[in-house]
Amino acid sequence: MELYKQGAESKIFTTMYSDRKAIVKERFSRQYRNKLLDLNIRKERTKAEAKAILKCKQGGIATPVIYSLDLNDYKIIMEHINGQTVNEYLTNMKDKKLDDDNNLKKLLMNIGGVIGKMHSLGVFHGDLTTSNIIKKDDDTLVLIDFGLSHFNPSVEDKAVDLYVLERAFISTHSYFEHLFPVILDGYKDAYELDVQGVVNQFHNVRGRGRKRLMIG
Amino acid sequence: MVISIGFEGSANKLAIGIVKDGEVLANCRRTYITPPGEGFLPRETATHHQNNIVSLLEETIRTSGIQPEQIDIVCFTKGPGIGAPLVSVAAVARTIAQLWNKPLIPVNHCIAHIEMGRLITGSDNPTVLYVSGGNTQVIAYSGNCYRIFGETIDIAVGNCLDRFARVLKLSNDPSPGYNIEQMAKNGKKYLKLPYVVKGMDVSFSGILSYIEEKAQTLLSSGEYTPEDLCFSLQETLFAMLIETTERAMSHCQSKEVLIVGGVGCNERLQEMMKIMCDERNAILYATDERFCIDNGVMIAHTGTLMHNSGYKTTWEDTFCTQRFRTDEVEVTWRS
Repeated sequence: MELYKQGAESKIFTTMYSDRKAIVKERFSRQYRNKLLDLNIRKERTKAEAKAILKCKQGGIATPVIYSLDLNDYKIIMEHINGQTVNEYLTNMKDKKLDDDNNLKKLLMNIGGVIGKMHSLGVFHGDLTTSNIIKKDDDTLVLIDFGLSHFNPSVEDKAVDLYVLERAFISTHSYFEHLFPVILDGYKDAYELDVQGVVNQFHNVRGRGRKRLMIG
Repeated sequence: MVISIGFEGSANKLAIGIVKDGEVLANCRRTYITPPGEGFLPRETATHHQNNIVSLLEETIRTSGIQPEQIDIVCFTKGPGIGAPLVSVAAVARTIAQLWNKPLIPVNHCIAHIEMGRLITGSDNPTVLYVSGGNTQVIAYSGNCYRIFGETIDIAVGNCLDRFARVLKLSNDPSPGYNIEQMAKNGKKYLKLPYVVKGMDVSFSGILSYIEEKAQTLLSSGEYTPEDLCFSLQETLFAMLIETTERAMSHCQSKEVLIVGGVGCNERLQEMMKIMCDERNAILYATDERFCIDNGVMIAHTGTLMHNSGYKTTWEDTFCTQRFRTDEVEVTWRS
């Protein structure tokens, strides 16, 4: 096994599962935090991740295939997705000063679409960033990193998902800041329930940030 | 060469500092301390500042060993902060600027913490964890702006600690957070508390309500000691902060962390952050109470940076604002 990436809470190793390329996602023990807290967080998140990946897949959203789940070692072995994260893709586009507006807009619409569909299925992601969406070469978007997810989200939860994504998007890709509304458009098209309710709540959550300038 | 004087009084600390091109000439402070079980209120805090500012100014000038006419710019905290204390201090800064006929520079308090941290530690482009009684933000610099990656969606971490100190009737001298830190060192038994991380944002108000509600029962039954509760609270809150900081680092591929703000001098927080940094080959930069806790030097230093990059103050900008976000300031002094 070879270390492929170290995120904030897990190590990703590349490996082979039977004859398929796979990754092992291990929620390793974090020495900085209290032992009891550590065990609890690792267990809950490994469980949440496996459950949400499965539920999304059943609902037709591309997620990695889970090959094996080990709750004693907090490990999930899953499919290795070929492609680049949306974060890498957008950073690349900016650096090369590519002016490929149509493709970019299509990608952003699709991002919104996938999230809308996920919410329609009753899944809350909890950590939507452009690093947690992988774009395959055929343009399929694969959602990953469901450690903070849960089921049956409230309108507030869904709005928070969008808000977290917006913040991550604007802070990482300030260059494309003006294009975030395209993601929202994609969301509106795909979300099957009361879309206006979510959008209104999204504006409420946005207004909540501390120390925002306000009149009165 | 620019000699700058900075006035700070956005919360219960009244501070004045003098700095000459990054060299600290004076760093004086007076803290308004309330009785155990009580927090500081705007009006009383403002009165404290008003009563102390003239003698503190004299002390600062004396310590620095320079004459008022050698000072080039007068800087003050424009915000964010508590209204009444902010206005009290700004009035003095404005008066001094008029008396000595020097340019007046309004400074964002949060930015000042970051710039002071960068100056003292020599860190170049760190992911910043800014933690104090009124602020909790994870910040990174990008595109002429300090962007907020994550923040509290309700109360600040220092506020959460301070308010729990009131439940335990701990002393507010030198600060409630310091006394919680000392108690926590003797805590052993971990109480499971809510752990609330939403993406890169955190929430503390639910944790505070939970522990406030349970504290009396847990203590009187002898199940937990006050030390255990301080320990559990610190461990939980800080784990959330370290995790969100690490998420931001991972997202920006950053290899440096800078901790600033009053809670930043908590040694347990620094220790936890250090372990996290070591695990991912990153470097931790932290400062001690002289520069972590609100001070005037940070205002003076940031004002110098603004002044050197050509900042000119308009009349409207010499007022205070309680709400002044870190990401509203255009950073003209960094490339």
